[in-house]
Amino acid sequence: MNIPINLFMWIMAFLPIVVLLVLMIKFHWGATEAAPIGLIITVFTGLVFYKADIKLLASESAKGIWNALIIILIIWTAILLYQVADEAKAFQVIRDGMRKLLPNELLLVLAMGWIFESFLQGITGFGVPVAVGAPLLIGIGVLPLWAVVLPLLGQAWGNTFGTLGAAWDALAMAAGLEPGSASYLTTALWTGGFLWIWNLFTGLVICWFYGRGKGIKKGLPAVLIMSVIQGGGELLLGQMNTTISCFLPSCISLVVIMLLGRMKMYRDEWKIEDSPIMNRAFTESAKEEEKSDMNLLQAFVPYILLSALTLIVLLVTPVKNALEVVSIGFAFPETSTGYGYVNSAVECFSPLKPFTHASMFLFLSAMVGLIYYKKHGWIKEGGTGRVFAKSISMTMPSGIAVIGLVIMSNVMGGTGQTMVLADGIAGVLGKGYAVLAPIVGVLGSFMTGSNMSSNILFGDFQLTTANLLKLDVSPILAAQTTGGSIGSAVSSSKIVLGTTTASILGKEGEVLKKILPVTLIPALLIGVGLFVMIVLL
Amino acid sequence: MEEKSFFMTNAGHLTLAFIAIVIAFVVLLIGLNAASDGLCLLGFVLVMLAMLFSPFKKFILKK
Repeated sequence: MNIPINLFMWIMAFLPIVVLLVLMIKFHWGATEAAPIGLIITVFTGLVFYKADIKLLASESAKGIWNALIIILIIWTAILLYQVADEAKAFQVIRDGMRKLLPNELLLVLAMGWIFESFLQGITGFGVPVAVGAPLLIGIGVLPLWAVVLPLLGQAWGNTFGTLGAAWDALAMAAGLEPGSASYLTTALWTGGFLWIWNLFTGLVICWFYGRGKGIKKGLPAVLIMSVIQGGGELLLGQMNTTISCFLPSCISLVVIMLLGRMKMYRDEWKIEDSPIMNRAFTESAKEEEKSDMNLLQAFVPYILLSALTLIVLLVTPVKNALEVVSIGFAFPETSTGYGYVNSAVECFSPLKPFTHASMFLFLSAMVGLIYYKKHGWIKEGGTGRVFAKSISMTMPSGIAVIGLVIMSNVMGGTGQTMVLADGIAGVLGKGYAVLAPIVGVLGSFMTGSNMSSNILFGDFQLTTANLLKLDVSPILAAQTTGGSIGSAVSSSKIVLGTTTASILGKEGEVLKKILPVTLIPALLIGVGLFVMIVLL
Repeated sequence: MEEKSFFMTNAGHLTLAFIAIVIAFVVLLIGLNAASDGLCLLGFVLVMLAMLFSPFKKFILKK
């Protein structure tokens, strides 16, 4: 391999990322429109300056499409599950049920703005917790702007291992971490540790927003308990099964917060009258809605089924082994650039095991939920068609963006651009790069709208940089995905989803202003801590 | 009737682009396995056209 590593080649490799950033931040383009432009520049650079041929571009594009299709399967089925519950108005039942069970207003805000979002993130993700959470919070009297801010924060910690581990799988795929290997488990351990800090921070920040010092004092015991369950549970389960390491603790925390509502400390009515996030006038004049005869347990039926199905298939080894027999993957030939940068041939690239894939559990749960709700009359005539049409409408824009970003990442990696980028940064910043590792993850999520896409885009880059600097790869990759998780709170697509369902479209800038400081500070602190741990100690 | 109106929407257009990408994927796989540069080029161009549809429509067609 003899790619000339100089400033010009580095700038050309960095150009698509800069263009993506400028188009999305300065010109407010969506990822669906910006990703193809970034891709075109990557392809042009690959062909002209990195001496790629059509075979290499075709091979990397096909690999990218295949990886993207697997991701899109999860996106679509997650959104399908959400649409089924939304069509049956199950989320209204969940909101009313929680109001009755939690008389302490701070605990109710924590439950509806953090714990319920965590639960939804554990299964669905892709902005669904924000879209669902915002109107529910308005329904309990939270001001619309804060009703968008709280779910954005509440869902963020679960972005790496949530959606049944989709973003984590993307990181493992981009960085070539073999499931079960020592590096895989060490990276999961570091990630679990970082995410625990972020999770605890989230709970405390929500208490602070609700009632400053008084809010933290009242909420601290609940936040500590929730954080041990969520953050600690995720850290532990990450060593056993990454698919359920966010989902299971999130389910447990949802049950435990209900039990906390019965404890002496939280069972009486309590609120801070002048809380800056609450709209007292709205609570008192809340509109009457059409009452449903659905109870709380029935509202959760598709989610209970999803939990049972996931646990049985993934934890009962004979069942898992039997279902994993079916595997789909494609062979790819060896390709190389004019500079001798080689991509080895693969027999079976990124195989999909459809019967143990997260999308299968999501799809089956959605279908059973649809039949169940329909049988009880909660999904009316024409509802099934609406559910499918809305799920496709919501999936397609992010689907096209994911395809563009994954192909872009693959072409950058396959032509040697990622390697040149990493080499340049390593040469200039040296080991001080560790401080910036989480910020790169934040940037990726901000640009692309998801932790998963951030990992796809920058996972390989972080790995290559860490290797060049002779830094421990696992904590750098963990910092990448933790940054991606933190960055999911400031992703423009999720903010727009929230402002849309909270009916304050156009106030995205105000939401961003509130949320930016509480995301950048922990990301920087994690970077500094990482630098101290892996460089100075 | 309903199906026709869906494909007239933005989501419908993106769905068509998605279908084109899936077709291109098949063409790329055939091209790579048959070591045919022509098919590889055809598949790659199809992917690029489908990907560029959204920005083209939003920033050129609509203006």
